[in-house]
Amino acid sequence: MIHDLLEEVGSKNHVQAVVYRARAVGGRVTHDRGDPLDAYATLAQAPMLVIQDKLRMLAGKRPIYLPEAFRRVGGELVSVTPNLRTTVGIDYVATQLGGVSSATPAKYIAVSNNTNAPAAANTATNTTNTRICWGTASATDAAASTSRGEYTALGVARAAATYAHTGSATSFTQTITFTASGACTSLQCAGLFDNSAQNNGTLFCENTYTATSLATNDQLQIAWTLNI
Amino acid sequence: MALDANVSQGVPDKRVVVKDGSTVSHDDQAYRAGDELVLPGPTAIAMELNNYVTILGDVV
Repeated sequence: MIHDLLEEVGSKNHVQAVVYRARAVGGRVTHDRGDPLDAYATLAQAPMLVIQDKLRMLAGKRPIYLPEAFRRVGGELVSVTPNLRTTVGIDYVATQLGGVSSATPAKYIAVSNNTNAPAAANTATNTTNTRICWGTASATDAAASTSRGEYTALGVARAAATYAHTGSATSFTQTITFTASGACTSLQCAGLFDNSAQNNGTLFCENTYTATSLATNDQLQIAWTLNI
Repeated sequence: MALDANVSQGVPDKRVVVKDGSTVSHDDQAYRAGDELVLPGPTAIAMELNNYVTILGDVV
């Protein structure tokens, strides 16, 4: 389904060596012709689409390969944004690695339509409307604002993500798919917690993405990449 | 460190197999290379793009 994208990206990242064999034809030496690109085309693996787009974005260009790959499987890439680890999240890592670790890893993802920017000082219980209000429960939909809290219903309530890691890689991912059971207006931020219940646990990271409204049965997939 | 958000509709669950060298934890179960499991479709697609799993097919 994305073969041509992989071929295009593959053609950008390899060394190509082509030999033109000499052969005698009627007493004269000639060389085989042909299309070396067709003959020696290489195919990238799917992760190269992500890497290629990251390089584009670092150069100030918009991503093109990842949105197209998602479009072909019925999705729409909303955004890719850099992460913000909170102050309590930094302390959480230190405790997990060197102190007395908590029973649960930071694998629970919540979403909100709070319009505040991510802030290092934020916590899981915050209700002050200058930061994302993870301490406020939003059981019904409403317009986005600085006082909106964490959705606790409509199919987008906090839930455990799927963790994945490849040996020796310096990153891992937490990925979740929410399926809306009702309208959700302008979802635009996500939090990663070590507790399954709203207003509880440690807010490890928080982030915003392009505001996105969901209709019933729309699926919002969030993939959180964390470097280690 | 990045957050990738993606919206879709009606993508079926998918049966996947964990790739060599990768580990996956889902619904409090740990899976290692060669193990099969079922993931929500958009989650499976994102994880395939990150090279953790191979999608075997849709779960109807």
